[in-house]
Amino acid sequence: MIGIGLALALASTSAHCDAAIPQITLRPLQQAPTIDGRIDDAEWAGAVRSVGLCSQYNVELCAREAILWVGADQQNLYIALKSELPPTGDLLTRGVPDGDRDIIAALSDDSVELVVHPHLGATTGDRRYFHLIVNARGAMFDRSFDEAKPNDAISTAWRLQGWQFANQLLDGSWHVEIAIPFAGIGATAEDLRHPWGLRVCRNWQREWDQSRWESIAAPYEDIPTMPRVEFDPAAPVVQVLSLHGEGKPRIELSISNPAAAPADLAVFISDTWSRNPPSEFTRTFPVLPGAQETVTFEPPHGGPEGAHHTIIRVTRPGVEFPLYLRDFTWRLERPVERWATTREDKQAVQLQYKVYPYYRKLKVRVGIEALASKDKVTGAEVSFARAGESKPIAHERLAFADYAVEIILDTPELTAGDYEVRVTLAGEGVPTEPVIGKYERKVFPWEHNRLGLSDRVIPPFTPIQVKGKVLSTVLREHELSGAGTWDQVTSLGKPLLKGPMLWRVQTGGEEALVAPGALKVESSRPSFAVTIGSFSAGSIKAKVRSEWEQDGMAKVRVTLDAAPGKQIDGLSLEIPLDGSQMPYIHACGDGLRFNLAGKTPEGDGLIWDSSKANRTNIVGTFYPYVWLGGGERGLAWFADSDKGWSLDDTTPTVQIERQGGVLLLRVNFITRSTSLDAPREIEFGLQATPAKPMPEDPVNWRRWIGQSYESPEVQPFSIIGASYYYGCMNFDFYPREHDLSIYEAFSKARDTGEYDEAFVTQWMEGYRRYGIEPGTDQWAFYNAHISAGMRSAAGTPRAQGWLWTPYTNARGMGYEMAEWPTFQDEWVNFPYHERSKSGGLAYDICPVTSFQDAAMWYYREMMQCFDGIYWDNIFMAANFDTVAGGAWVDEKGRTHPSMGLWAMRDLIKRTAVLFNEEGRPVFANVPHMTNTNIVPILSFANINLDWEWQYGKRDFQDRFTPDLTVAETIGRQCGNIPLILAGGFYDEKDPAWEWCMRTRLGVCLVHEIRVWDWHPASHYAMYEKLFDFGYGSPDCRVYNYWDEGFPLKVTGVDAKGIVMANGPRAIAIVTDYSEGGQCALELDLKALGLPPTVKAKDVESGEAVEGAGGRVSFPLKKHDFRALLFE
Amino acid sequence: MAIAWMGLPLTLALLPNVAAPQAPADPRADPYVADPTLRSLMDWVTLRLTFDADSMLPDMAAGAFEPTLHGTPQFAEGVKGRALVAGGESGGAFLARRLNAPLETRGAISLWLCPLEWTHVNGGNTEFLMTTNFSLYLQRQGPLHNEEGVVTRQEAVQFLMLSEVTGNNCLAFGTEDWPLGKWRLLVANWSWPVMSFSLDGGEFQSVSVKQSPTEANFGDLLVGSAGGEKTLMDELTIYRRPLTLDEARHLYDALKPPAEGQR
Repeated sequence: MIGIGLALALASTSAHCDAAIPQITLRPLQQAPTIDGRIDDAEWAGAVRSVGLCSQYNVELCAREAILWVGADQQNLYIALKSELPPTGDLLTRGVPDGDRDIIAALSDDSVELVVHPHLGATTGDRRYFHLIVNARGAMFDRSFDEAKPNDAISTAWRLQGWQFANQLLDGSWHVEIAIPFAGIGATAEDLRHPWGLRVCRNWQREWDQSRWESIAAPYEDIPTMPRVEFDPAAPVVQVLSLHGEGKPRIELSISNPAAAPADLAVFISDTWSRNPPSEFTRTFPVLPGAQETVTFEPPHGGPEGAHHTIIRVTRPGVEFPLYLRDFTWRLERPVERWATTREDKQAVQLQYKVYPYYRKLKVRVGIEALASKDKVTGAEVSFARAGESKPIAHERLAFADYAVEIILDTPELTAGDYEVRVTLAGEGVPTEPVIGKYERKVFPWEHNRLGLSDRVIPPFTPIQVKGKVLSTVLREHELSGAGTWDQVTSLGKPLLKGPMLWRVQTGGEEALVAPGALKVESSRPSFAVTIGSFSAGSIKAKVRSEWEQDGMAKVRVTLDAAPGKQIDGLSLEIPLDGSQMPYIHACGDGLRFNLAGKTPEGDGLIWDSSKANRTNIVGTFYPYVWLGGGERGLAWFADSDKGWSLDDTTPTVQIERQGGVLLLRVNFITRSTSLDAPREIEFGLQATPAKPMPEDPVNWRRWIGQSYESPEVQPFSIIGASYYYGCMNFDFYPREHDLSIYEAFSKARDTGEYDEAFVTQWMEGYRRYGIEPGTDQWAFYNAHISAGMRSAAGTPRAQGWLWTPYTNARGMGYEMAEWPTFQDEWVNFPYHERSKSGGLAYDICPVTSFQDAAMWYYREMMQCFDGIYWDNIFMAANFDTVAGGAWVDEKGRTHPSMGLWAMRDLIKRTAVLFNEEGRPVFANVPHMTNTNIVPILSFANINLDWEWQYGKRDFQDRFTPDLTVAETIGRQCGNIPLILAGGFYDEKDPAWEWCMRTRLGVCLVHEIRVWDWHPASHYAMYEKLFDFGYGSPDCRVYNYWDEGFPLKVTGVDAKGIVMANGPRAIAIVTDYSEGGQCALELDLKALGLPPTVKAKDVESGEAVEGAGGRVSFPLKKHDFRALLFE
Repeated sequence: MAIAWMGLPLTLALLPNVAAPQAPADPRADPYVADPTLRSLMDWVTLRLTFDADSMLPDMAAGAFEPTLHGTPQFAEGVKGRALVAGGESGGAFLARRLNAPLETRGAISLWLCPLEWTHVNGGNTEFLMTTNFSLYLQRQGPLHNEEGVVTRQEAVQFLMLSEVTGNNCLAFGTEDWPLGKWRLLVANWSWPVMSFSLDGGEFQSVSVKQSPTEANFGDLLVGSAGGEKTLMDELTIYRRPLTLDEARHLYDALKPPAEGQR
C-alpha cells in the first residue's frame, strides 16, 4: 500500500533519487539520556548526530532546520529531534490524545513520525515493523506491519507500550526526546546483531512538509529505502556538528572513541556545488581510546543559485557497514520566509473600510486581534491611492488601542477608476507587506442630480403661511412660542393641546426657571419656513430652530450654548395633550410587526413609557417615535437618533402621564449630569395629524380600488409585487443590464392592451447570458415573472385610467447593480460589509442621499410605463454607519444607530415632488409600512400598504383589533388610502375560504380599507352597490365609529360600524368583533337628516329588516357583517 | 413522524448500533491529509470533532479539550465515519472556548448536517453549536404551525448572533424542502462586524452586526443538543479565519454524498 501523500511526493523526486540511504552504527550509550524534552548535548554525546532533514518536495535539506540524534542501549532505542520553530514561537498542536485510539489528527499537527524495523531481513519469527506519528501533546497514530502476512500486514490495533516521550519548546526550537523500549517492538538481543530500518521524519505545518532523514522520497513502509542502523559495542561515535558557518560551507564532524582500544577511521567527504566538479576530503586516522577528533572541511561555494550535493562517509577498515553514511543535497542560503505564519499573519490583519464618494471620506478599521505578532506592532500607516500608483491621495498614521484602530480620512473627489486602501504595519517581526483592500469608483450620470428637490407645493398640500405667531399648513394651525415650542396646535379646527409645550431644565439638582425668548421667522416660502425661538434657564441658554415643511412636519434643532464649567442635569420637553382627543397610541421602534398600536392605556399618572416598547438594535434608552391621537387628529413626536442627547441607561426617553384631562407626553433629552464645555445640538421632529387631506384627485379616495375592478366611476390601480416582473435580477433600480426596452414594451402593451409574446420570448433569451437555460427552475422563475409582467401591463390599460405601480425596495439592493461597488458603503446599514458581486440585501439598506439621487433618476425612467412607486420595507431600522448613516459613538465606545427616518422621508417626498415635476400629479405611491404608520415618513405618499402578517385562515377580526386598525392601518393620519395584503389565504376551494374572505370584507368595509389582491366577485358587487348609493361622491357623508358624534348606536353585540348618508338615505354596516348575538342598531336619524319613517333592508339580499324609527334588530353571526339601507 | 418498526421508531432502529470503527490503516488516505487544499485548511483549525470514536472528545483542540457531557449523546453513521445525533433524547458536551473558538476575532465553523427525524410540521430548535451565554448559535429552528396549518415559525438552519453589544442578527437557510437522510454542509464565517453563511459550498450570505463583540460577549461552547428534532451532525470544525467560497466548495465537494440514485 502506498500512501497518497507519498505517492505525490514520489512524483516530485528529482536529482538525487539514487542517493545512498543513510547508514549509521550505534554504540550502546554508557548512560541513557533523561527523557525530559530538553536535549542536552552532553546527554546525547554518545548518540549519532545528523544535521538537517530532507524535504519531501525536492529531497534537499529542508530550509527549516533540524538536528537528529539516534542512540541505543541494551533496552531502548533513543531518538532526539531538535527542530526550528516559526517566528511565532509556537507549534500547531491540536490533536487530542485518547487512550490507545489512533489519532489521525496528529498528522495535521507539527509532529514526529518514525518507522522502526527491528526485524529487518528476518525470514522467520517476528517480522513486524512499526510506524508511529506523535504530536507535541502525545496524541499518537501508530500501526504495525508484518512482513510475515503480506496480504494482511497492517494492524492499527497495535499500540506501542511503555515508551517515553517528552518535548519542550526551548530557545526557538522544539526539543523532542523519545525512548522506544525494545520490548515494546518485539526486539531481542538477537535483533541487535543485524541492521535495523529506521525512518525519522519531522512533519512540519504552516506550511506543510515532511522532511526525513534520507534523501529519497519513498513510501514509509518501503523497506529497501529505510535508513539502516547497525549496533556495535566497539563503534566510535560520529556526530555531524554543522554544515556551514559564517556564510560559507563548513562541514564539521566529531568522532569520539569511548572504547578501550584505538579505532582506525577513514573519513570521506565529497561536496559538489551545482555543476562544479566535486571537492573531496579524505582522511584516514586513528582515534585513541577516550579521544575525540574533529574533522572540518570547507568546500567552495558558488552562490545561492546552486545547491551542494554532499556525501559524508566514515568507515572502519575491514568493516563493511559504515559508522556514518549520508548522501544529501542542501543549500547554504535559506529563504527568509520559511513559514506560512508570515502569510497567516498578513491574513490575520483585519482590514475593513468604507469609501464614501458623496462625502469624500474614507473610513478604515484595522484589527490585529488575531495577529500572532500583535504585541510587536507599534503602529501602522493607511494610504488610499489609485491602483497601480504609489502616491497616495490620502494617508494617515494609525495608533492601535486594544489591537484595533478606526479612522476617517478626507479624500479628494474620486474620479472613475480602481483604488486601493493599503495598510502597512510598523514594528519588528510584524508582517511587512501591506494589506490591501480594493475599491472601484464608477461615475454615474445621476450623481448629485436635483430631481424631486424643486421648491414647490404639491397638492393636496397648501402653501405654508405665517401670520404673527401662527404658522399654518394644510388642515393645521400652529401657535408658536418664543421658546421655540408650540403654545397650541389646531387640527381640523380643534385644539390638540391643553396648554403650551414646555421645556423642563434641571441644573444643580434643581428645577431651573425657564425663560422664553422671542419668536423670529427666519424665512418663509410656500414649501418651507424656518422659525427661531430660544430659552434660558439659569446659565443654560438654548436656541431652538424649527424647519417647517408643507406637510406640517417641523424638524426642531435645539442648540445648547457652550457654558464652560457648567453642567446641565436634565432637559425635557413636555407636551400637554388633550387626553379626550387621544384615545389611540402608536409607538414605533427599529423594526416592524412588534410596534405598539392600539388604545392609549387607561389610568392616571404614568401610563406608559418607552422602556415598555419593542426595539431591535437601538442602543441605550433612546426611542424614536410616538403618536397619540384619534382617527385622524393627533400629534407625532419623533427623532432619528440620540446624537447630541445625554442619556443615562435607565430613564425612558418617552413618558406618558395622564393628569386629569391632560395626557402629558414627556420627552427626555438629557437625563444625567452633562458638561456644557462645548455646544450641544439635539434634533427631533413634531407633526400634528392629519398630515394632509385624503386624496380627491381624480376621484375621491373611497373610489380607488386595487387590481381588477373596471368602472368609469373608480380609480383602478395595480401593483406588481416584485422587481423581477419588469426585468430586474434582484432588488434593483432598473431592468437587467439597464435594458429599458422592457419599459417600452410594457408601455406599448398598456396602450394597446395586447400581450407582446414576441418581446417576452426575446427578453427571456437574455437570461442565457447568465447561464440560465430553458428547462431550469431559474428559467421558469424568470419566465413566469416576465410573462406576468407583460400580462399585467396589458391588463392595466391607460385608456381605462389604470395606475400601475412597480415594486421597489427601499431597504434592498442587488449586488450585481453597476452602482453597488461604488456606493454600497454609503447605502448599507452596517458599520462595514463584505464586498461581494453576487447576492443582495433585502432589509439592510438605508436610502441616504446618493441612494435617493439614483432612485430619482431611475424612477423617472420607470415613469415611461409606470404611474407610481411601491417601496417595500418602509420601517425604521438601525443604521450603524457613522459617515453617511448618522450613527454616532458615545464615550463608552458604543455606536448609537440612526433610524433612517429622515432618509425614508426624503425618498418618499422627493418621489412625490418628482412626479409633480414631471407633470404627473396623479400617481399611486405605495409605501409598504406593515405596523409602522410613521406619519413624517408616509405623509408624501398616497397609499399605505399594511398587514403583511397574521396570515392564515383565521377570521380577520381575530387577527387585528379595531384599536390597532384605527391607530395603524386606516391611513387617515397621513392622508393616505389604506391598503392591506390579502391575508395569505388563497385557496378558493378550501371550505374555509369564502367565510374568511367575508370576515375580511366586513373589517374592510367598516374601516374603509382596500385590499391589494383580487377580490371575490361578491365583494365587487358590494362595492358596486355602495358606489351606486353614492359612496365616495361629494354628496355622500361618511361617519366612522372612532369619530365623535358617530350616529349609530350598536347594542347586543361587540361590533364596529360605519354609516354613510346620502340625502334621505343611509347605509349602516356593522361587523362583529366578538361572539355575535342579537344586534340592535339605532341610527341617529336627526343627525343624519333622515325622516323617522325610514325602513331598513339588507343591502346584499334586498330583503326588508324589521324595525322602525331607525331602530332594527337582527341576529349577527360571530365575525359576520351586515349592511343595511335605511330609506 | 417516525414510523414504528419492531416497537422502535424507525429512525432509531436505523441508527447503527455498532462500535466506533478503527482509524483507517493509512492515515494519509484521509481526505484531510491527502487533499492539499484540505490539508492546508487544517492548519487553521482550532477545534474539530469528528465523533468517529462515538465520543464528544475533540479530535483537535487548540485549547483545553476535556468535554463535560450534557445528557447522553447518541451517535450514528456519519457523512464520514460516525456522527453525533443532535436533538431528540441525545445530548452533547460543554467545551472550553478559549483558544478553541476565536469567536471574538474572526473565524469559521464548518459542519455537516443530516435531517434524521424532521417532521416539517412542529418541532423545537436543535442547537448544533452554541455559546453557553446564549450569544452565538448554529442551529436549526424547528417549524411551528398554528391550528390552521399556517406557518408561525419558519424552519431554517440559522447562524445567530445575539448580544446587547452586537445587537441581534441572523443568517438562515430555509429547510422546508430538506429530505431526510441527505447530508448538507454549513459554513459560518465571522469577521466582525460581518457574519456570513454558506450552504453546500454555495455563495455566502452576509449581514453585519451593529458593533463587534468582545471576549466578554461569549461563554464556553455547547456542542450538540438534547432538544428539537433529531439531526445528525458531523465533522464539526472551527477555524481561526473565515473560509473562502472556494474552500467552502472544496469542503463540500470532498465529502458530498453521491447524487440521488447513485448511492
